[in-house]
Amino acid sequence: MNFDLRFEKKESSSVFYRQFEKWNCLPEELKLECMKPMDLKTRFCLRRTSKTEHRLVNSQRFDLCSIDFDEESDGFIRGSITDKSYHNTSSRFRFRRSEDMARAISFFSFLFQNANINCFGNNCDVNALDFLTCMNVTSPYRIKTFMGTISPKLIQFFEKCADNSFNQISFVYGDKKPFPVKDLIQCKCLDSVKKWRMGGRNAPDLGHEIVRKWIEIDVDIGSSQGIQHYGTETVDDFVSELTDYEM
Amino acid sequence: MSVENAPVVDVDEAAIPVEKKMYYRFESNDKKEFRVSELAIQQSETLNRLVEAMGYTSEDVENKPAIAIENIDGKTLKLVFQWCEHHKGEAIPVDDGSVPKIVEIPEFDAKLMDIDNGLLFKLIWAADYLNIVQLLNVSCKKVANMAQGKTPAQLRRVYLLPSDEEDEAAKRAAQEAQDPRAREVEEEFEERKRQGGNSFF
Repeated sequence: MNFDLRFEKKESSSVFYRQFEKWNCLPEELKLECMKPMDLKTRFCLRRTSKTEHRLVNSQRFDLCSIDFDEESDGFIRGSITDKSYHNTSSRFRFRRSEDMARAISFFSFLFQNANINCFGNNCDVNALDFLTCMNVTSPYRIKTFMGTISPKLIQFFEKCADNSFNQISFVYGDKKPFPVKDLIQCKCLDSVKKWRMGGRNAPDLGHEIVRKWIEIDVDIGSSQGIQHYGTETVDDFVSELTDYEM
Repeated sequence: MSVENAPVVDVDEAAIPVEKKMYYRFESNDKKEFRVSELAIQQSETLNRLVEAMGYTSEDVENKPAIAIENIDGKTLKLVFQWCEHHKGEAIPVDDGSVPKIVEIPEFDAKLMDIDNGLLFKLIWAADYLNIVQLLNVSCKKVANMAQGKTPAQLRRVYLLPSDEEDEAAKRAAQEAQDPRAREVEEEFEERKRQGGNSFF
């Protein structure tokens, strides 16, 4: 199923729909009950019908299994969203960087602010998702797992996530700029992450800043970091950075 | 069990069940009486608490007046009790707060809810009022299904949603209706204008 961010298909005026003219007589709590089984696309479309429905849809958080940005090619960013309704079926989406960005920002603002996202994945080029930092934030994002490539901008995006919301993170740092370790470890959304897998280039140190964070939050055995660091330091230097800990 | 064969019936002496189970008597706001089994009543948290609080014996049920349900008419209450009888003994789903809520509409419920919108609206309202969790789930799911796959323009037609302009106009009209003095002042102003006065004062 394709997830058309425009939702503006032309329709024949003769199409017959079952109407429910009593919708406006329902009190808001019952409208919200009726909205609970709605899938993501219906919810998003309903939000665009009137101010009242916009407010009601925004007042109800919903669960998403995953949102994945898969690839960027021919000027398009492509990906998929897996909704909990209808047996976890995925919807594909794509949008053109140059033309559809305003629409995409509006859609993903809605998604990140209103959904509890189980897994957020990024397999696109390192800076493809920088647009996510342009979104208006009225409530913190709730994401449990991140997998894929990160950039300094994406770390700024993590700063907008709710405290302690992540429980797993697996990423490769792909930017040419030095890895902003301090920014990453200051993200409060990562304070409950127990499983870490991280790798990438341009590490500013031998990884002791991350190790300190891991000791502080007591991560699970098996967490790992692979770094590329250009310098003359040795393993002894790494250990000497952590002399305040008994090893 | 089909809708037609469900055991809830308008009161008819000949049709009174002879089983020894306790059957409570309820009366709708248009004075229709229904007999409903104790087990079926458990589907409604509101009614279940009510009958528990009343502590009726089998004799009380027969001798005392039927329990009045003031806010629901006979047609709606008949559907409600048919649903409760069909689903009696089933576990009441616990709402874990997850959205989207996964709800399947069984065949019996689909047939039961093959009704006009007015009655469907009353059924949703009654399920909420009587706190019948699964009936509320399936009736709301039916309304949600009408929206499935529709564009915003189509949704406005399905739910007869007002545009933002119409919404604003309705709000203004409602505000004006609530403030009679404002309306009087406006009428007075219009009258003076008609009489040729340039100033209100």
